[in-house]
Amino acid sequence: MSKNLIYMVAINHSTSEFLNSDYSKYAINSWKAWCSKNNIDFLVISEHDERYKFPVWNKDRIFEIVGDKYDKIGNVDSDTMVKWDAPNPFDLYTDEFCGVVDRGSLRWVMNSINQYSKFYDDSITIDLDKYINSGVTFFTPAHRHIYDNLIELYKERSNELDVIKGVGKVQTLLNLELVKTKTPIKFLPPSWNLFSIHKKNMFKHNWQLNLDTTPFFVKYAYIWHFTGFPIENRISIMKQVWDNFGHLYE
Amino acid sequence: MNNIVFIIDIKKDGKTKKEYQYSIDSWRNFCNKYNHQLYLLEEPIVDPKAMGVIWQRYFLFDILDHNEIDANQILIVDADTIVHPDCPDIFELTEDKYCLVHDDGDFDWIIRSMENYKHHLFKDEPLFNWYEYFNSGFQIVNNFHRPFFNTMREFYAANVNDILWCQKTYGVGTDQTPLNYLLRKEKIATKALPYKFNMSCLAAKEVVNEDMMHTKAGYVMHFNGLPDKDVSVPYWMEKTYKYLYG
Repeated sequence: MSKNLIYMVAINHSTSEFLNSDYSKYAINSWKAWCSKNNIDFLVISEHDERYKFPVWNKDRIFEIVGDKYDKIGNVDSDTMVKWDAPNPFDLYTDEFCGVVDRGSLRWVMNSINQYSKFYDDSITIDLDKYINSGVTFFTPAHRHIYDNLIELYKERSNELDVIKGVGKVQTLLNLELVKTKTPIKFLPPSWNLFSIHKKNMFKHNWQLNLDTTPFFVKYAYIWHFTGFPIENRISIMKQVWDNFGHLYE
Repeated sequence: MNNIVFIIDIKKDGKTKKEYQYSIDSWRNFCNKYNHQLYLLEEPIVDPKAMGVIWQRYFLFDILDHNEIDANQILIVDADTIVHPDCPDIFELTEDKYCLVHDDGDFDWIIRSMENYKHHLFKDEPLFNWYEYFNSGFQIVNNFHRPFFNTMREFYAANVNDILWCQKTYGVGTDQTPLNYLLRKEKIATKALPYKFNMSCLAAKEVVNEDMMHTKAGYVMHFNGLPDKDVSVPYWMEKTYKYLYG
């Protein structure tokens, strides 16, 4: 019988002004309940690996930690929540690497690509229409080499990587690695990783018909990614979501 | 047979809006580069009071017939777009399907439009995926789509009062949402081209800035969804055209 895993890094660390657990507790609540309901293993990494300066790099350790024992794996950020009745994303693919295209801020994406491309050969270029958000990805053990390469890159060039600011850390490197390794990507609909919810204006409901006050992000998406706004807002928004909908996970 | 780029350029007070002229000039450059024909609709087909100008693009095939233009494929594109001089030949991407680009902007507006039009005009049609909602400002069609354009006009004629009421009451668009519903209802084979071919709501993508990053993000820049549009759209279209074309 196949066995699948949801992997989440949720580490409190001195490099962050806010405690990760202040918001990840709501993410963990949702994923834990959903995984239990769907017979999927759920692993939260809360201990930091001292090889790394920033906790986010622990995302790349996934195969070091879980090995090859799972058929399919989801790597989700600690600022995501899954809807209580979301269907099973592991049914959406066979052996592709899966993600959602990210153009939440093309400025950020383009700047990030400019910064991180220097770690790769000039022939490795990213098509903006194929650039994915790394906050929710699905893949299989056949993709282990991608993460092995990223761990190796950090080992060799951490001094240069850790001084880059304002353009993310793991996301663009993952995209560059996917291009370099010519990995087939399955692009999932944004309902499977709904980021920049405020910019999409999906915290609202249809106030004109007013037949249903459910916010659009809840009504029309399965995985909500509370990113793109200050962390203090993230904490309060995720708390509100759990306060309003948490009972539906029981 | 020619491929045609079709732009509505109905004059106000006898003049083309200055910013629209930049759009037209950029598309003229595109047509010259690939040996296509530019067609400007400069006079309304019917009184705009009876049918909004935007809806009149669905007279396309009648207009071409009347002018004895034998077209292979036609790109209908809004006059608030500027095409990049490096844009590849879009007509080679179509596979002879009805081609559009998914809108990527204000999904509050999009979803309200989908839900409101369904509630009033498309009660029996299923609600489709919000992320598969097409922007009507960029459509590539061919002769096979003639009957569908008749369907669009017939739908307008049969529902004009309700359509105008929806437009006025909710402010959620004119032809765009009915187009989305009717494409699906009529089972028209569509092909979604990548965002780079109709980059809507660029301001939200944070690239419209003095460093002109939006000119590096793709091929067709659509200057919709900009705040303070009466000032910002003319400003950015002029600046973009001059930056790209000198």
